Amino acid sequence: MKFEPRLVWLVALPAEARPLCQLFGLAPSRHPSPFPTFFSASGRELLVVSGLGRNLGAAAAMHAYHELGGGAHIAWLNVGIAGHASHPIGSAWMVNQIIEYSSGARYYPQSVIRHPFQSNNLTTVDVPQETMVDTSLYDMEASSFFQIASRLSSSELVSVVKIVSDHGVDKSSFPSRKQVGRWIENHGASLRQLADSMLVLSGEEAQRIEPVELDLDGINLHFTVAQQHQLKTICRRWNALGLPGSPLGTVNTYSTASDALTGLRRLVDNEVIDWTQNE
Amino acid sequence: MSKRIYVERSVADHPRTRAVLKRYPRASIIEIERYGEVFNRRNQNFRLQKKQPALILADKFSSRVLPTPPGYGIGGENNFYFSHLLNCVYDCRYCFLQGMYRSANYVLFVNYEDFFDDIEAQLARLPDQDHYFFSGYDCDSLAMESLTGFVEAALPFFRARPRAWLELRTKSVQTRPLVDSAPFKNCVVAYSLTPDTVAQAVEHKAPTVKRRIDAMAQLAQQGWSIGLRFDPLIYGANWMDNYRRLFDAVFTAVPRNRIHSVSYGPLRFPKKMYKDIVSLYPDEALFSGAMHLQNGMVAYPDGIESDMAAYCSDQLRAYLDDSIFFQCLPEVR
Repeated sequence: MKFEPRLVWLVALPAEARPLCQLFGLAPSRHPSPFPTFFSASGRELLVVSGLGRNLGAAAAMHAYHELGGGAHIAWLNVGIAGHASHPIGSAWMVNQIIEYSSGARYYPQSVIRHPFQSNNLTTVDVPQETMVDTSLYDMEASSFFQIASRLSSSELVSVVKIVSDHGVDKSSFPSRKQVGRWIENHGASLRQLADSMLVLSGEEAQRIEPVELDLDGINLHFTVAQQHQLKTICRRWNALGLPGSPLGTVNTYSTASDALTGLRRLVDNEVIDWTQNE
Repeated sequence: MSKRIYVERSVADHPRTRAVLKRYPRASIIEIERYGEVFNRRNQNFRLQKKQPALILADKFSSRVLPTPPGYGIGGENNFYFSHLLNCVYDCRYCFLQGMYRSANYVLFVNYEDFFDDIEAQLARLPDQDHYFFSGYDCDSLAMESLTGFVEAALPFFRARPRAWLELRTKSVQTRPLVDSAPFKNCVVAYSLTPDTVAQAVEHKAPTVKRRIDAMAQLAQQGWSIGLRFDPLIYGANWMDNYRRLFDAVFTAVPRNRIHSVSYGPLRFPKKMYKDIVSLYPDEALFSGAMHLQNGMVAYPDGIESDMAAYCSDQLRAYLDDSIFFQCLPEVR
């Protein structure tokens, strides 16, 4: 199966999910699920609501991975609210370093995308932070999200964007759903821009990881699994060398799969690259 | 240039760190303990990072000067390499760096003086012998000079030590520190060259071959010793004509008496590295022609490799003396 671009949005709260679903046309999954899950009409984007905390963040990431059928090409975006000592309420930040408070572990999202956000470091804590004296943002799930997502895909495909919701206040002044919705809506265009760029990256990775889709319909010869891998390699080389048509078009002219592989391999081996055609 | 700059805590106050950061006032600065936290981690992707590499400023606290692998040299017996910088601004598809590291971020070790101390110590072990120090092993020696200032710092050091030969390996035309300095005998500016059509196809972001030749000519005219590095030799249609034209262009522009050494080498990769690079660039024609596995190295079939070496060697010998030819045969390192 050829991979397609895929993006997972992971948020902790329904209040964060609602504006994103409305802005980007994500609809609830029809299947029962341990985490509220939403899909775009194209099926390329999935949003999962993890709930608060590191464990749930990690579990929801795995859930999303399986819902999309897996693959190291999936892009991951954690969006949510966070505390900060002084940044303006409602301002959005791309996270460039995540420190897990309980373990001291540090993680580094490696965004290679041009984006409109300023950058800041983030500390993931297990209980809401009432006082914030340093320059860090504070949230409750990014460290585990990043840890899992960057195992499933490379770290360049994982981004964390946080919107400042408080300056370290007690729980009674936690922002309302409406406020959260408004903050996220305010950054809707920037988030869309980021998501689209991440989908492009995901598509490039999909093409890199699985450059050839082997369609053996109409092929009369039997290729073992190992021979199918060899045939894929020949197809990849054929395409990279810019040879016309597809090697699969001539497979049926051979009497056995082994003969076909030998013959096709000879064809690509004998091809001399004309560098003037590859500039 | 990099929007993200990672800075090791131990070099945060180093004058070179401060100078680099001053050049990028809008960069996002991230403090780290050791560069290994962000460089070459298992979950990184060289191809993706190459889109926007970050800069890492770090301290190299050991293994600063190392013996070169066997087969790497330009006639001397005591050959060493050092890397004040890891990775390169260019994106040459045959470069081993893309198979060597999972990260395309640049690591700049700012403690140049420690490198010089180690070179000094190496010289002191065999004070009567010539030593060769190769600087362009894990990077291009000149391409990031405007940022690093390394060559500017290294030239006076080597100028004062005639037994310490410095090779600057480059494709860059950023030759200002050399142009602004008086030449000296024990510094070789070695240019990597492939035929123009090959360069355009596989040496992404590198200066054109013509600009490199112009830069060489200018340096030669000023009195600098020039090295010619036809490494790797790349096969393709009309390869003989293409290499002959390249040699003609070089020797028309560069006086032969300024050429210190010529080396050429085959396109070869250790098996694992080749597999990793193909996996990064499956759509690359360079890795899709005939390549064979021999003695743990993936290379052109023997006939092609030896024909190219013989032809290029014959052609070059028409211009230059045998004594300055060296064949570079990479081995697994």
